[in-house]
Amino acid sequence: MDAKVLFVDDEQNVLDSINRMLYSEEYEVALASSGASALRFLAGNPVQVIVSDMRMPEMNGVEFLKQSRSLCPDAIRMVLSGQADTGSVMDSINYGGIWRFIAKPWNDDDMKLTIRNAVDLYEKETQRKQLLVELKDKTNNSRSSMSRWRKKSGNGRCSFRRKTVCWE
Amino acid sequence: MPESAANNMAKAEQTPDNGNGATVSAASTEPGREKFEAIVNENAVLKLALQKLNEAQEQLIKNEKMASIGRLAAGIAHEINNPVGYVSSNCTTLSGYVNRIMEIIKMYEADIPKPMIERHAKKIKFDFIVKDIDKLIMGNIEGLARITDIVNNLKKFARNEQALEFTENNINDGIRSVLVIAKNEIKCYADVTTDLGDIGTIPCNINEIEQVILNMVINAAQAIRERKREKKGTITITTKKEEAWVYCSIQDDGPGIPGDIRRKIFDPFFTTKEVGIGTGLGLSISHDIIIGKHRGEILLESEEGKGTTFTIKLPRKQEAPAVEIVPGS
Repeated sequence: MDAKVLFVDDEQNVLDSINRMLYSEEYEVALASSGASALRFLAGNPVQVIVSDMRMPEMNGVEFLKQSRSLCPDAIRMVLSGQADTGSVMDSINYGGIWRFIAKPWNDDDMKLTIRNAVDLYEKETQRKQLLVELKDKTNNSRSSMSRWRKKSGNGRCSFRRKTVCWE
Repeated sequence: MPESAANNMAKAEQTPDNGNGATVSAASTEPGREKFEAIVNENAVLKLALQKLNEAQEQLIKNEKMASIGRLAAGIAHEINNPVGYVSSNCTTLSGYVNRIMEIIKMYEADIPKPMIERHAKKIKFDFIVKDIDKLIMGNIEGLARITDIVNNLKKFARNEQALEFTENNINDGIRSVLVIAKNEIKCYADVTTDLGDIGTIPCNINEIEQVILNMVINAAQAIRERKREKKGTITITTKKEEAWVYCSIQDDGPGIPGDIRRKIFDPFFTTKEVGIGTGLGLSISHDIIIGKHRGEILLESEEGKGTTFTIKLPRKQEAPAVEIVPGS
């Protein structure tokens, strides 16, 4: 698994503690101290999961998450914030398109589990999309071979009807 | 009750005169006894009314302060939750580190061959742990210091004691307290620069002065926020002293106050903020505190599009204590 998880927080101490907490996890951890630098990073490095703080100077969490959607449309987005009033939670859902809201202070085990679930979700979603494409291809293939067969053997539907009538 | 608080000052100035006048006339004329008693009674009634008004005003000031703390609470919680978040996460990590270090120590105690221990140390990233522990502990100490600072300032700010008399205080300390409490309201919109002069102490009710400064700083941050610029604005707080006065000015580069509402901003319940954001009492109460109680002045300079400066001017000496205005006297 080479999943990448990006954390955005204006507080270096928070980034440090997250980095330490996840140092034995299987996915790669990327850290950014502002929305702007996170967007620069995302432009060249697609990630699977994005976890952002809400209150940050210059670009707040909602604004960053909103803009990240065009760079990484499929990434699973989350908010990690000490501010959980209705307004900011609503904004992060409606504009930031988030999947989970984690409150500060967080519980390490819960957080690890949530991130693992997010990575899983991303992988399942990509897998689903890939399977869907394959299924479509296969359907198209069988459709075209079916029509080829129909052309060869006259009108299939008519012969079927005649057969039904025979049964009666 | 709030409307009466506005008239409070006017009455407060008149009543004591009535009292003094009555005392003088009583001593000089005997036949006017009936009249004198009537005046004494009236005086007592007025004194009671004054006391009630003063109590109401005290209560109003306190309520406004509690309301402003309430409005700040979400921000303060955020300021505390950030360090609490990483300190507690660090502690969990630290206990993991300690377990690993203990493993190594036990291996040494059990006389396990060194290459084996080294292999295990590599597996558990022992070098990283040893290097990181210092940083982790420093981070925790810093975080705990920050929490302590916020809680102490909040406690200082919210103390509910009745400070009836003025005490000698340096208002620079008040400004520093306010900036800790209001940090979260300001930091996303403005940088604060302070130029706090050597102003010494002045007789004042520091609690109430802090309340006024908090009001003005929050106003400044909200004004800057209204401009919705890309870059952060600046709030400049300056203090200086002159012969008889200490000045504290709070300057912002917000949109300025339009000329037609400049006269109304000290009116009770006047607000341009959205419902639920401002009570419209902040500046009216600041006016009462600075001008009514401390015999100071509030100066306002504002230019549309450039910004606003509020200057609080406080006397370095209170000549006679403002007895008449203090409730319960």
